[in-house]
Amino acid sequence: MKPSRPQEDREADLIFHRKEWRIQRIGWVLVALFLAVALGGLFGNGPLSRAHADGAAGRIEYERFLRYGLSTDLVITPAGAAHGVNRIEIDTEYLEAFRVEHITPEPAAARMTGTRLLYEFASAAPGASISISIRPQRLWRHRASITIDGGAPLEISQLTYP
Amino acid sequence: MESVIRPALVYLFVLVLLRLTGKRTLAQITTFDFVLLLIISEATQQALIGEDNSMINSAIVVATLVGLNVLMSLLKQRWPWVDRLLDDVPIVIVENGKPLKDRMDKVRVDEDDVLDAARQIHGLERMDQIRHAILERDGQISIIPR
Repeated sequence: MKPSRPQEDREADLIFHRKEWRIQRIGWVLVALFLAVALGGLFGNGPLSRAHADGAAGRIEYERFLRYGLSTDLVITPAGAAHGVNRIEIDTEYLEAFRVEHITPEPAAARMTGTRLLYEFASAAPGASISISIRPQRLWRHRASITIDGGAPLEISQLTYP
Repeated sequence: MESVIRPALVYLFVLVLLRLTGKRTLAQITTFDFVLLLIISEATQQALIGEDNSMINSAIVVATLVGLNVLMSLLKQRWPWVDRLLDDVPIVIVENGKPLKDRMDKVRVDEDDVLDAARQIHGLERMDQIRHAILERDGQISIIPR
């Protein structure tokens, strides 16, 4: 007489299990890859996310990958200053996707010039940076062209994850 | 980067803390143990997510915690000493109706706890009805009746 086996030990089930295990292995690898790129900063906050745009008039440091509702900084370092004033122009369309939290140092003046917002700063020591803290209010792609002291516009592109 | 490091540190901290304080610490023996567990989860929540309430952050945090758990289970399977280190080993605390006092003192279990388990699992009333009582790795007491 054949020894009785539990009903759960059917051949069809074993085939299913073998498939399941294989898929789970693949799942582990995918989770490991996901964590590796997260550690690298592909989802914000890491070396892959840091970026900068350089021009003759200065440099902008920014994060390439943002997260919805988490504030981030645009750090702008003008190369010099004309008449003791630094002018930063940012398109308003870009700023609509964010809430500007604070600007350090405080701009001496802010005014609209067509579709762009112009900030004027009393210029500090050369090499000093202006930090604009912004909080994303819209998802996915944002593009900005930022002008420092009337130089060639610097293009930056950011991606906000949900 | 932070989204991976934060939960990994919390995971390690909780792992070490619970291992150092003994397996009965959060074995949910009393209602208070259960409430304590809820309070701990509330307290660690801030450390896990910080100010970042985005979906991608929660996905990374959850993947880190689950991934570490899978990694630990693989390590335990590969090396038995890791298993003992992380999960402890069961210990016999009653033999043939005789409580092993010195062991019970060390693992902070008294005769009432053993009888409690004996009543709940087997409906036993007295110590001499128990052949073996074993403190399992999860902090539960299993009873083998005579």
